[in-house]
Amino acid sequence: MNRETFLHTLSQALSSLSAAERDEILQDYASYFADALADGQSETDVATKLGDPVKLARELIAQRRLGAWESRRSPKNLWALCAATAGLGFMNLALAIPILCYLALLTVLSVVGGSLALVGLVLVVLATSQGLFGWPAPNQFVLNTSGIGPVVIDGSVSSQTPQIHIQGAGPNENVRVEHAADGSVAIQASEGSKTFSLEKSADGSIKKIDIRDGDRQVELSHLRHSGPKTHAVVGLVFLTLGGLLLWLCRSWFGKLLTWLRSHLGQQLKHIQGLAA
Amino acid sequence: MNLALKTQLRKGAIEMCVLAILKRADSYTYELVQQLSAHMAISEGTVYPLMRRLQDEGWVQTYQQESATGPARKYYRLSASGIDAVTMMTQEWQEFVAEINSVLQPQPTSPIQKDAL
Repeated sequence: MNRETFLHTLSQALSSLSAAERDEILQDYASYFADALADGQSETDVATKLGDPVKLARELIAQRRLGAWESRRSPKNLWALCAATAGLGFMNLALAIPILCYLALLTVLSVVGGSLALVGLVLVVLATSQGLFGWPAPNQFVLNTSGIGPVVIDGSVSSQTPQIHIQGAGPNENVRVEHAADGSVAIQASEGSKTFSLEKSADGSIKKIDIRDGDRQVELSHLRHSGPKTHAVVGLVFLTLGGLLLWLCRSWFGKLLTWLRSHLGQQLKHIQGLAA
Repeated sequence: MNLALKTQLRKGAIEMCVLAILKRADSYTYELVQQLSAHMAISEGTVYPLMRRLQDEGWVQTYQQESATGPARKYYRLSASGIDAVTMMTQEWQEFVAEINSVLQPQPTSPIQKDAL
């Protein structure tokens, strides 16, 4: 292999680096050749002593990837580093994949933690605002803990006076509305063995929903209306949980980074200090 | 086995050797390789990645200087932290060698014991 072939092969193998990085490396090896030739060595001898340019390029790329990842710890840089190290044969992809899964898990956990903390913060601020300034009105935002739909729903819509209008086509269809003395309302609609009943308390919140069809029945009772206190408590719990999760992720991520840095750094030191 | 041990030792010591050469005088890659290979077996191609790593550590700085033979050469010089690093490494190395030597060639410490033998 002569000088030109060596530099050309090296340049090709370094194609994944930026042009500036590649040029710097090529210039260094070109000047090494110049010095060696001036010293009376043959091109072939120098190329042989320098070793396989493809292998050399792999080491140089891995080194750059390590540097890039140390200056900016993004999953993209980590992936590039794992791929480069795998190319060296020191870390196979079988090891890189669990690391990336772990990383993905940590990312998901931090997103969950962040969301919890954010919702908690919003609830605490809301409750504080309700307690101090009376805004927003208790029914304007309702915490939906059913797990279905949005966490916070606009309660002012459902707290409006309901307009119930049922037309019965048969003799067994009827609707009964009972107003109690304390201001609560009970509504019952039935058709044969099917009944639907609903109880509303005086403040407009729904206390109980009951649906029956023969012996089948669904009853939702003790429906609580969430007020500022609930908001504050739930908010604080969310904030604490979210914060804890974020802190845990940070610490686990830190441990992963420390391990990777020492593991990969060691491997790179090994190859760089390697004797012929 | 012997060869493997020597290779391992060389891997650990090559950084220190490069820093020690640069402590005496600034140098460029080819000259460094010549000085190293005069005394020990090294893979010439890996000297550039090694120099890069020493730069990343902040131990070595580079500058361009005109050469008699051709275009400007990249010279390496030790930084202040590089001088500290090589001083510490050299000291640790000498302590290490002394420890190993004292195990390999135990000196009779007690003359009484010697007489008894």
